[in-house]
Amino acid sequence: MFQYVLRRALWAIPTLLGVFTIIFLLTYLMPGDPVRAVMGEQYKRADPATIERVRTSLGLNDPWYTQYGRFLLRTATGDLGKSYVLDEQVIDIIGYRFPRTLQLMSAALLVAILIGIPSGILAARYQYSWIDHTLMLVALLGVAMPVFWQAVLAKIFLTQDTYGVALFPVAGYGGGNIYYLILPSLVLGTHLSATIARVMRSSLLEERRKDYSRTARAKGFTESSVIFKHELRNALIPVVTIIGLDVGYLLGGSVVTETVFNWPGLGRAVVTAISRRDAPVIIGTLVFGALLFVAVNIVIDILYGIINPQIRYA
Amino acid sequence: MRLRRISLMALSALIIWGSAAAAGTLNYPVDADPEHLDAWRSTTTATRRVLVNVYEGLTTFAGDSGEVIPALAESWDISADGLTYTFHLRHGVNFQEAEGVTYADREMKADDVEWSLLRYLTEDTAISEHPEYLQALSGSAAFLAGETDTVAGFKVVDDYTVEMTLDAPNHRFLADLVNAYVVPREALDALGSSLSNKPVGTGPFLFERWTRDDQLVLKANPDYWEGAPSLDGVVFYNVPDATTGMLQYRQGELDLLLAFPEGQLESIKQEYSADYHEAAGLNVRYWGFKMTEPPFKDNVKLRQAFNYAVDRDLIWNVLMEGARVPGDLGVLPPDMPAANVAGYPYDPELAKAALAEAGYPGGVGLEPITLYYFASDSDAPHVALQDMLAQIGVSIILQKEDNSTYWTHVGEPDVTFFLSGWSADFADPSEVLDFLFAHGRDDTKYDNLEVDALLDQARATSDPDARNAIYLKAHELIMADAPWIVSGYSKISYLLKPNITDFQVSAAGTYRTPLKYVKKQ
Repeated sequence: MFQYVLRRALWAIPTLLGVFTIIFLLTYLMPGDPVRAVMGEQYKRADPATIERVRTSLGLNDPWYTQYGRFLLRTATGDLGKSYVLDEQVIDIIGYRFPRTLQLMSAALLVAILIGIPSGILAARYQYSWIDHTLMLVALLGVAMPVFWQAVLAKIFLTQDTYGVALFPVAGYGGGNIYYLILPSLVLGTHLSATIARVMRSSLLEERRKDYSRTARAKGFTESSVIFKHELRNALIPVVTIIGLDVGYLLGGSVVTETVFNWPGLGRAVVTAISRRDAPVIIGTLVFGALLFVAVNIVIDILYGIINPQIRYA
Repeated sequence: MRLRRISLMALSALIIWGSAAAAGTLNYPVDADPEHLDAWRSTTTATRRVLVNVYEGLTTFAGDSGEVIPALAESWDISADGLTYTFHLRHGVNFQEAEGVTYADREMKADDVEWSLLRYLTEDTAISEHPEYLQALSGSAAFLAGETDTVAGFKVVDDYTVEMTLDAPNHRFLADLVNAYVVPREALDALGSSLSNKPVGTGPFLFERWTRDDQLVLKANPDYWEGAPSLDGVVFYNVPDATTGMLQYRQGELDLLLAFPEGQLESIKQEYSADYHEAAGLNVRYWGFKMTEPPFKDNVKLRQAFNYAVDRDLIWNVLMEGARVPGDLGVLPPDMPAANVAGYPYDPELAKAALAEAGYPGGVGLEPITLYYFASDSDAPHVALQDMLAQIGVSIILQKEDNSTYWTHVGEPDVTFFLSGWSADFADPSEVLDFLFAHGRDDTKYDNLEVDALLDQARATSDPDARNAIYLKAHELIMADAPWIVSGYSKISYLLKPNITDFQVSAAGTYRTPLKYVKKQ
């Protein structure tokens, strides 16, 4: 087990190096420069000599291999550098925004699991009944509706006195007040729960057709003990995989949810950095995201073994 | 069930009550965080919007008229030759109290002005990005080059008097000083580089805190020299999405709204007729021709044909629901001096005739032309332009690029027809003409030696009437050359809750005016 984790961790190094190189090259090849990106049409107000001096001081006039080497060396020593545009260290940008992303992510995942797994089990247990049809129709809608649309609907009915009941604030972080977290995590969580429910259902149905299930039922076990003691262990494996991928997706910050709820998360920081051509922030946050993604996947692989002890690590 | 619902509502009421902003706080949305809050390096409206409330210069723009008026300088005298400015500083202006900053002398005096202003004069972009604010001072070039330790044109006469001497008369000088803020040296010494995120100045509001991408909070400065502002404070909320902003305004979470969801302007105007305000702005939007590349090079008739083919009224008043004033005049926004020149009216017949004279009768022989525009702009005006030009036989290919790519690409020779715009900081023709029509600085690469000479002459002319007459002449020459299709002039439109009064908006934009007179009932 320990050897397995160590080997996976070592494999992460070339993966991260590859990710780093690709991100660097993409950033380098992106047309545009930070000075003009920030000023927009007013860039003509800046003296061309000033723009040139800013470029030189940021090292943007160096050849690509010099810039690559500099980024690589710095990143390897754990220094992610300073933003080209903001007066902030990249590490502080991540340190401030990541906990906020994590907050939203955990709450949304909790909602997604609490809704998705029971719905999937219910739908499989009562396959082709009205419960199954209703739940899967809702889940289909949940997958099909873009999350920003769900957000707008939720806001109109739950935050507006004009149209519905103003139970929640429209948007904002509220200085960490948990009350501001409820609506965005409900929206994001129900959106994610749709996929979880569908995978849970189909995976459980597959298990229910297998010989061991039939044997268990023939022995006279109640239906619920067949599901919870025998089938669920096996059926959960693909669901955990899906949740793991969701975590990866959420770690980068859900850009859309963060934007429409004014949530100060990592995803928005990356998108703003891209539009400003702020290379240190783009590279730093994306490498950080890749690192987390790799780590989460290792954890997921270990979880398989805990859920189903029959799985061995070779 | 019923009970649970009631208790949920009671709970939420309690939380809302607990988190509600104090009365007297202005809840102000911004679509993006400022990049930083550095007095010497501020280049964007996002930074200015906050800084004008914390910092002040010797001069400022009046909140309503936009004219240059005294701020930290109580008054000034200008010598008869227009070269020497003597500024009389206001007495009893105290720098703001800030945590960690101790003052030997809290009063703002001439040596504070000297230190702050000369700090703008450096080529080190980590310190200042605006040497141009003080480049008119005589001796500034030698100081910038590091040849001298002092600027010959800057003299501290006594604690309350500063004398500045220029090399040549320059009517823009007082306006350039508006953005040159006076900062206490003690704050930089005590806070170091963190001063660029925690400003300390002389203005009506104190910086309190800034949680990135969330809120930036200012509170009233009780020691402000004009008396404490009426508001208790201002909270700038980061609201990147216009639809969310609209819902927040509707629900009372915001006191004003500066951006509207696309395509809803007309319905918002009707629903909020009491809250809706509109004023003329100082931005001009245009489609530019590259003057140095075919087919527009040396073909004024072709450029004029394009101009006559565009129905600006249809674009701005119908398609875009009145978002801008149609660009029926020249390159200057209508409220500026020297703005009143003949524009190019919509006339398809004249357009066809000019196209024939240009050598392309009915558009025959003219290759399709690519029109470049940036992604954050609406598509509608460009699609309309494409259609209008098709009606005289010109074929246009639309090419949209993301904003950052766009602004480095637009100056290149392969971009021959493009969208651009410009915002003047104050209502003087030099704000447009000097930046866009002097010495090929615009992306059109327009360069007319006669216009260059007129602009140089105008800059050194102190008498406003004589100066504006020169600008008018230059403006007419530019319009005859038709380097642009003037598209439209900006309107500043916003929603403001009826309980907010004395909210001043200058034509340069809402970001220009400090919120010191605003009242909230």
